[in-house]
Amino acid sequence: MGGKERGALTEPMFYVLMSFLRRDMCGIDITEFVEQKTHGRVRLGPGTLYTLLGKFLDGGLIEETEVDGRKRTYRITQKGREAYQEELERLRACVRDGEEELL
Amino acid sequence: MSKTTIRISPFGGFDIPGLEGWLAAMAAKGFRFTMTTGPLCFFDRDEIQTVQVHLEPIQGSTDENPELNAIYEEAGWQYWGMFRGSFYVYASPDLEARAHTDPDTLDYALKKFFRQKLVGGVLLLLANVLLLGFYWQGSPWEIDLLWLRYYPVETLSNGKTIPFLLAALGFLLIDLSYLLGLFHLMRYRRTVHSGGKTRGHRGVGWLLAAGLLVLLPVLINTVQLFSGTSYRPYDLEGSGFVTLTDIEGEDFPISQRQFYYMDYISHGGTLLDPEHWYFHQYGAFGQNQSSNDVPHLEISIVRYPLELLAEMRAEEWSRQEINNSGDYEARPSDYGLDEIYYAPREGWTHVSEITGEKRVFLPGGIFILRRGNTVLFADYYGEQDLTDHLKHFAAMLEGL
Repeated sequence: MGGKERGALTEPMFYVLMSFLRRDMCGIDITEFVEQKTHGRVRLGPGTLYTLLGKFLDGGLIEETEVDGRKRTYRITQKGREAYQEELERLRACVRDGEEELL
Repeated sequence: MSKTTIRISPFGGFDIPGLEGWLAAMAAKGFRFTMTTGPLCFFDRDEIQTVQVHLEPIQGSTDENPELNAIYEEAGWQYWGMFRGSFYVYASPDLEARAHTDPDTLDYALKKFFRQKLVGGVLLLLANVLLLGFYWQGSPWEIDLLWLRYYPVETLSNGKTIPFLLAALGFLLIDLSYLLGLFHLMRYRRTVHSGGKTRGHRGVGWLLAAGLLVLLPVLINTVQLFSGTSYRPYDLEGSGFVTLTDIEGEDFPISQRQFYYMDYISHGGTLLDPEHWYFHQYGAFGQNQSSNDVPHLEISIVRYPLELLAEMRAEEWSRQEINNSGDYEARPSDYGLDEIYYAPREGWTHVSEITGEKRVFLPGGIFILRRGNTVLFADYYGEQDLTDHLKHFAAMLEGL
């Protein structure tokens, strides 16, 4: 999940991880965030979101902070921020390489 | 009128496209999925719906997941129930809605699910070993098969053979269903990964149902054995059983030694082990004597579920010569008994070829009696005439 040992993040993975950068989030908040952020370009199916939350929890990229009825809230961990940062660097390198070729 | 309808899924428990299609087809007929119990699927009668059904592989705990339901509901899906602790079942009237929008993430979910089911396979294998091992008799098959050929009722009613054979068949079907399920899941994962589509495999669900149906009596039998309800002894006094004292007389000394003295009737039986009784008594014998040197009586009784089996068992017993017993003589029915066989035994002397030691064996006789579906085998060693007690034996059988 980002970095050499984790592999590249897919777009849904990247945006879900991004959603935690500024505040703690619950599942429904994440869907809305990704929808707004990408203007509907990246669609996050409920199954995809559920699997990603489980995957990020297992990988220690996020952690649960609160359970309120049907709502669970998560926050990003230091490991998650590092994974996001690594992916960001990778994407920047991709864009840089691509633009260089256009010049 | 009940609004619940029960069906057996024709698709295997891990056949995601097959089950999704089947549950959607059931909804189109007005049956809305609610839950499963073993191979049975429960549906509520509902209005006819055109929906797409999605099975979400459960990660970790198999409890209800309110958070996931909220996420799905927000996306327009309705939660219907849980499928065998493997999937959460959701339905959407939007046939274009997609629960998974990232193939890599779906691949991850399926991979994790596959691993969980592999672990489940190991547990299933363990259950195979435990149950089959419990009923395995440790005898080479050749001997069992030979015995089965000549004494089928005796072999099949020994309390182990039928449970073992049923367990072996049941597990064969269940294991096959599980292996096919894993194979189909692996193929589905590959197809999803490559962006293709796959169809379900009808029929695998029936294997599981048939396997569980065959295994069910074995499981009931095993519970009976472990719960202690399979063994129900009762006091000799008041049992009506013929005793050695009845045959030898009131003054005859009965051995009080452990293993030779029974003041109770051994009695038991389970679903797959016919009800049976056993009792023996020996005369008192000294330090330099063996139990064979004194009069003794051994009684075995089995009650079969069918009269035909009791008839066959009586016939099987009548073919077995035991310690110089003579030929069995069939006697006319009497005292309410359907069959009476008697084999007198002559006393005989055995000289050991190795030590030259001489041993004298007592005379006696063997009764094989059948009353309906109950058959008795009584083996007596002593000087008295066992046939004098036929009426008592008949009354004893009637009283069981």
